[in-house]
Amino acid sequence: MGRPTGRKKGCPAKRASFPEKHVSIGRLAVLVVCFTAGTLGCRGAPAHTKRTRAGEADGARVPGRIVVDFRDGTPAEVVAARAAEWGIALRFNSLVGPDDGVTLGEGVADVDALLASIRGSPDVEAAEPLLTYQAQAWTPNDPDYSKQWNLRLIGMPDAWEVSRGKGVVVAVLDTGVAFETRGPFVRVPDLKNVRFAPGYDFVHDTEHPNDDNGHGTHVAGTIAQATNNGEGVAGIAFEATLMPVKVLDASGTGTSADIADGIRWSVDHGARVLNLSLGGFGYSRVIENAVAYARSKGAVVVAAAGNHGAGTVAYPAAYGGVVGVGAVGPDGTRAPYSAWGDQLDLLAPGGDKRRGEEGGILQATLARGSPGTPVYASYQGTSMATPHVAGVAALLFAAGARTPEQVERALYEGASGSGGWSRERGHGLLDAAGALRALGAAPRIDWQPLAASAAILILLLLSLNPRYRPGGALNVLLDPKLLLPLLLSSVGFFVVRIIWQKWVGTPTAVVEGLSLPLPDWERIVFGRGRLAHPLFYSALIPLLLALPAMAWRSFRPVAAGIALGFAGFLAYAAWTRAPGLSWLPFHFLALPWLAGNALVAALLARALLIRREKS
Amino acid sequence: MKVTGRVVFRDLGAGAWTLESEDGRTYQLLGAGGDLLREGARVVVEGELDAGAATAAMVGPVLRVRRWQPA
Repeated sequence: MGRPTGRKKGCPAKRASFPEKHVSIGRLAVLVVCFTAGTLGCRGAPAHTKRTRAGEADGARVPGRIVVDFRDGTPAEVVAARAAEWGIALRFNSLVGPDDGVTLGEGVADVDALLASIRGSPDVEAAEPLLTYQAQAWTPNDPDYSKQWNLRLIGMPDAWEVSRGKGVVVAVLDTGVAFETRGPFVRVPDLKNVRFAPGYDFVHDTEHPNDDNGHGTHVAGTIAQATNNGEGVAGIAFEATLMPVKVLDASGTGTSADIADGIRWSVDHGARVLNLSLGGFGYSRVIENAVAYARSKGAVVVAAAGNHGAGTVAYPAAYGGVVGVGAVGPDGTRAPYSAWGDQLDLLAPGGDKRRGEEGGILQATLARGSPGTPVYASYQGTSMATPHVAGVAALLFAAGARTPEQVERALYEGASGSGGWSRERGHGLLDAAGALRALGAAPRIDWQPLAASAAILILLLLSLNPRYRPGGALNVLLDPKLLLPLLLSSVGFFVVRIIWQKWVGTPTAVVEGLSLPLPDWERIVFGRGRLAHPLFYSALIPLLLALPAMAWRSFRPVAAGIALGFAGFLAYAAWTRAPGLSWLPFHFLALPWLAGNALVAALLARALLIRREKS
Repeated sequence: MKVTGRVVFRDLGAGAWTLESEDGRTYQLLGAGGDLLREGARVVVEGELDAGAATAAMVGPVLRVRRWQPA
């Protein structure tokens, strides 16, 4: 929690390990197997050459071991003779072995070669490699689900066991959705039986947000395509309720006024998740205010980082309070078209069709230029990545998340494949199962800034003439007047949050704020969804607190503790090289700012620690 | 504004026509007739930059075409 990394929305950094509160080791093993299978399946090999029934997976070979099924009633002597002939050790698998003839062989060097010769034996009914089977997570029966590498890449089979987004309203602010058959428009078959909330068309000002482009229908499909209906493809939160909000015209273009109105309207009509697979390159205060309104009403806003392939994130993804989503291809690496940068929060599957259509995201949509013709089409873009995150956000709300902060924290802490936040990968690759696990877990407490503070303290003490050192060695740390302020400013009063959660309930925004390190308290003052504030991420607060300490001697350890904590916090922030500071136009300015202020805070702590003889 | 460049179709989202200018910028073309939208055509486009527009394609700033001619 409260890690001084470059997060723009006051979100915690991704955790390195997940406390497994609700998931048994066995389930975790299954998850790892499934996830690995899904990932490997995307690297060239056909993901699923054969469809498997739900509850049964293709077995995995156990190295060096085989199973030989002799004809029923084969005497043990014959089994022993054959074993000697084949040069292996054979034993009956269980107490029924002498009846059914199932034996196990171990230590086989070349399994396939040996099996070939064993199968020729008249005593043998069957011989094969020993396989392990594991219960597989829920698999939908949609015929083209096997082509949806994207859903396996984010761990959907396991996530579906926990949540399917029931009851959560997800607004799709886009070109409309093919949700009704009316005039020239149709409802695409694979949206049959999907729940829809009444939407609105802000382009034509009607109550019929029909899709005249196809983009919005494709995006809506990723979120909540009809699933396990024996038709087409699957969607992520298929028990959620879609709200079609048309803000883009037939050419896929929209105005800031329509988009801002769409955001406010959808939130006022019950949407908890807003999907904005759209973006522009001009800042709009009107849209930024609408986003702030959406968050204040408890909605999560997800937007595409942009397809311009550069290190700047498009608007609205770049606004505070918006989850900015970049795209990966089937191999999990960022797609070449995907933008990245300071406001990138997550990566999700957006497809990469350089090697063919199968590298894209397959959903039901409308034929290009023919809004009356349903088709299944493979699209690529950060537009396609965004609804993956929106869908998982819906799963999180349905699984018990109450605030946008909780949803975002779970998304970021559950993300896979990165050691913290970076401009290139945000908090990492979306992981639906990981996010649902992270939802129940307590936020991570980041101790590294405290370690940095301790290191600085040692340096300071060594730099002091022994005559002026306060106490001996590190005894100064045992003074609660110094230690508590040090903890407060480097790791935060996390105890408040833990106690609150145990005895009172879900922490309020103030409690969440108080449990953060002091430099992150800007989130209480300036609201969430901002870049770190450079005045809070500076030596200003320690300097102000040092003023009373000049006159009031007994306050000095407190001021010294605060200054030390800030020094450690800022030094660690500089060290991790991931500060995103608001009001600093250039990324490279953040580093000298943090390092310089860490130094000032450290020198201030040194001055406060010097023991002076009473005059 | 006047931009000289190459017309390129980008397969992103539902697809978008762009103008890749000689100085390396990419504009999303809007309001252009079918004659202009030919892959690889070298053209001079005259139009307005629409900085406020948001699009589903997000490939670059929107250039609303007023007139154009082959380069």
